[in-house]
Amino acid sequence: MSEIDAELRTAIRDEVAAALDELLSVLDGFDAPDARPDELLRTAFRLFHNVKGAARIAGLGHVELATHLIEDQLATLRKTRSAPSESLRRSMREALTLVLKELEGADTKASFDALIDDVMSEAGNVAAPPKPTVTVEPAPAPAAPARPELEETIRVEARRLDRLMGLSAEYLVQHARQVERQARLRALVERVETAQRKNPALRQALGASLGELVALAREDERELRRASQLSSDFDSALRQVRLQPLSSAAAFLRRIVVETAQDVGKEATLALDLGDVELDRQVLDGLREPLMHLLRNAVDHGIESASDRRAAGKPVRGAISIGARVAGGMVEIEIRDDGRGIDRKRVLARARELGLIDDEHGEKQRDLVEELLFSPGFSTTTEVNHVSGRGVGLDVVQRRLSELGGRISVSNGAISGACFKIVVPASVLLTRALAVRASGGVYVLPVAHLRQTLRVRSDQISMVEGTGAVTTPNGEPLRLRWLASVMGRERKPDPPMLTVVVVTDGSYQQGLVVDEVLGDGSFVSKRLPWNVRRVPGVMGATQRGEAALALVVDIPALFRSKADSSDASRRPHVVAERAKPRILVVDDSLTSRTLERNILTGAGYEVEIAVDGEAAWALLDKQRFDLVVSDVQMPLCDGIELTRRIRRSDRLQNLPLILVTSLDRPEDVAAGGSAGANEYIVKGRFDQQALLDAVSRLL
Amino acid sequence: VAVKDDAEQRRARVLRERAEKLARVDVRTRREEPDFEVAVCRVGDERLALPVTRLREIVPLPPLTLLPGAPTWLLGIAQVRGTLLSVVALGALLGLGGSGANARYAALLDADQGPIAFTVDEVLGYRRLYTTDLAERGSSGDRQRPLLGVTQDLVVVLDVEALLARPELVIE
Repeated sequence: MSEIDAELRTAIRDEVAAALDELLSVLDGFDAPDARPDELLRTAFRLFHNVKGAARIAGLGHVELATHLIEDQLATLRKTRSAPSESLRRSMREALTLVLKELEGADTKASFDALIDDVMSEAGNVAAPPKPTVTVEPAPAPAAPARPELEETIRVEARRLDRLMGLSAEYLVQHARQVERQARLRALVERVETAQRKNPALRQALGASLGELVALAREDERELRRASQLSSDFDSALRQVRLQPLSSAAAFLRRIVVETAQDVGKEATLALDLGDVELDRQVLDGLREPLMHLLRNAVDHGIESASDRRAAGKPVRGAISIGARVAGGMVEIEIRDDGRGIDRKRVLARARELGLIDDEHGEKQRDLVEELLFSPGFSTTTEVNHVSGRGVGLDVVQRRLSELGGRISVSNGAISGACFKIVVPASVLLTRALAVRASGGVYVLPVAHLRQTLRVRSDQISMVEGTGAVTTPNGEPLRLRWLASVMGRERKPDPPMLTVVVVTDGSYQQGLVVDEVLGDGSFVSKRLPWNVRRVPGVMGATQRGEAALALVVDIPALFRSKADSSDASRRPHVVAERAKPRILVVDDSLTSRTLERNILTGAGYEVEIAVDGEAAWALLDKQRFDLVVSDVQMPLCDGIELTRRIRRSDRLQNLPLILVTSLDRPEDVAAGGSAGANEYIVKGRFDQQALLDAVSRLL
Repeated sequence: VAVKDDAEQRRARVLRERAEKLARVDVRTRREEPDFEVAVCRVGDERLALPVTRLREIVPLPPLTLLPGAPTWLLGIAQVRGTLLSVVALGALLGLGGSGANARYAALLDADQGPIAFTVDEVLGYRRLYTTDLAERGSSGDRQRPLLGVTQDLVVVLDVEALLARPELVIE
C-alpha cells in the first residue's frame, strides 16, 4: 500500500466504515416487504462510487477495480430495478470489509483478486473484463458528507479534551474541599458568636471585628455557592462536548457480526435500535471490547447451525439485536439473539466436573449459573466454552465493564436465545459514588451498583450457610459482607445497629456492612499504580477531602469471590461480653426518676439521668445510649419536643424511645405517637413490669 | 520535573553540604571524574546508598492507604503531586528487618513502567562514588540483595536497576 498519511487514512477508514454501515441497512432493506429497490440501488451505487474515489486517492488499485466492477453491476441492476443476487450482496459486504482490513494494515490483495473473480463471473461475462487499469469519470470529493450539515463543527484532538476534562475534574475535587472548609469556618464563627453572647468582656474586646468576621464568612459562603454552580455548569458543558452518539459505533458492530458470521459459516443479521443515546467518548471506547465479545459469542455460540435452526422451526438466518436507552445518567444496552440460549443444566454439569460446585448446590442453580458464566476459572478453557455454549471472555467482559463503573447480567429470552444487559454510566471520568467508612478506611461505592441503605439490628442476623444474613423490609433475604474484613482491616465489635449498603451486580444483591455513610459525590477514579496489577475487590483509588486516598470498591468482584467458611467478612463479630444496655431517663420529678432508675438498674441496665429535655439532648450529643425513657411534661424542652429532635437527627433517628406520663388523654398519646415515640406508658397504670416489658421489647 | 518548594530545596542543600563535608576525602589524587552520585539514607540500622540515576526526589512520607491482601512490605498507595504510586518498605523488602513503620521519608524512583516510592528512615546526604571504591559484590554474603557493593565505610550501595526489576514488586 502506498504511503498515505495517517490522518488521510483515518478519514478514509471512517468513510468506508460509515459506508459499510449504510450498505448493511441497504441490504437488509431489499428483504423488507415494502422494499423500494430503485432507491436502495441508488444508495448502494453512491456508496461504491465514493469508496472507489477514496481508493483512488489512497492508491489502492485493486480496491478501485473491485469497487468499479460492483458499481457496474449495480448500474445494470438499476435499469431493471431488480434486487441484487445473494452472491453480489456477499461480494458487496466483503468488498467493504476487506477495504477496512486493508486500511488497518492487512494484506488483502489475494482476497480482492478472489472477489474480483466472483463479481466478474456474476456479471456472466456479459461485460467484457475491464483492463487492470480503469479509467473512470471524476469522482465527487470522497470526504463529502452524506447527510446535510446542520451546524458548524470543528475537529478537536481527543487528548486536548481529555486534558480539559481532567482539569475540570481536579478542580471539582478542589472545590469540594473548599466547601468543606467553608462549613468548618461557619461552625467556628457560630461558636465565637455564642461565646461572646455569654461573655460581655469578650464582646467588648471583639468589638466590631466579630460583625465583620460574620459578614465576611457570609459573603464567602455566597461566593462559594456561585462558584459551585459555575463549576458544575462548566463540567457538564464540557461533558456535553465529549459525548458521542452510540450509533457512531454501528459500523463497527455490524462489521463484527458480518465477519464472525463469515468466519464460522453462519448467517446472522444485526438489528440496531440505538436511538439518540449519547455516551462519553471514553465510555464508548471502553464498550467496544465487551460488545465485540458479546456479539462474537452470539454468532459463534448463541446462533445454532443452519440445520439445527431449520429443525427447530426457526429462520435459517439468526437475528441479533442491540437496543439502548438512557435511564438516569446510566445507559442500558441489551444484546439479544434468537439462538439456543444458555443451557443451565450443561453449565452446572460442567461446573460439577470441574469441582467448582458440589451436588448440594443443585437446588439453587438459578443463582449459580450466572456466577459461573462470569467466573474466570470457568471461561478460560475452550472445552468449557463448548459445553456451556457461552463463556468466551465473559469474565473479561465483566471486568472491562467494571472498570467503566458498569455491570452486566444475562438471562434467557422469553421465547429463545439469550439476552445480555449492560448498564454503564454515560460518563466515567467522574464516577458518582457513595463514600463510606469502615474501620478507619474510606471507601467509595459506585452508584451503578447501589440499591439502598438499611439500618439493621445486629441481633437480627441469622447465619445462613456460614454467612450472616438478614431479611430486608421487602421480605427478601440479604446476605451480609463486612466491608472492613473484605478490605483486610481489623474489625471492631458490631454495634447494636448496623449500617448496611445494599449492592448489586445486576442480578443478585448483597449487604455491605459499613461503619458510616459519609455521603455521595462525584469522584475521579484513578487506576492503581503500575506494580499493583490486581487487588481483589478494588478497582482504583480516588482523593476525597481526606488526606489519604479512598479505594474504589469493585462491587462485581465481591460477588465473584467464593463463599468460604473461614471467611471472616461473612460473619458477624462475636462479641464476648455484651455491654449492659445504656438507658437515659429524663424526668423533672425527683421521685419519678429515682423510681425509674431503681427499676431499671435492678434489671441490669446502666442508667443515666437528665432533668429535662435540654439536658437530655446535651447528653445524647456526647454519649451513646441504647434507649430513652422520658417524661412528657417538662420545662424548657418537653418529651414531645425531645422525641421530635431525636427523630430528626441523622444519628439518633432509630433510637428507641418510651414516653412516660400522667396524662392519659387520647390526644396526648396521639401526639407522642406522631412525634415518633415507640411506646407510651401512663403513670396511672405505672408498674414495674410494664416498664421492663416495654424496655425489653425495644432493646 | 516537579518544582520543589524553598524549604525542601534548602534542606536538600544543607544535607548535601553536610554530606560533602562528611564524605571521605580520598588522599590519592584522581584524574577521572567520580562514577556516580548516591543519596545516602538510613534504613533501620543500615546505611544504604541509592544511585541518583533513577531517583526523582525524596519527600516526607505521604499519607498511606492500605490495600487488602498486600504483602507486608507494601505499606500502601499514596498520591504525590497527582500521581498514584505504591509505597514500599525498603527495609522489609530487602530483609533488613523493620516494618517501615518509623520511616519518615519516601524516595521516589522512576521505574520504566512508572514511579514507585521506597521508604527510608532518614536522609544522611549525597556523595560521589568511584566503582573501584566498592568492595566486591557478594562479599556481603547475601546474593539475594540487589547490591552494587559496599563502600569502605560500610555504606551499602543498592543496585537500583536490579531492585526495580524484582519480579515480586509486581502484585498480580
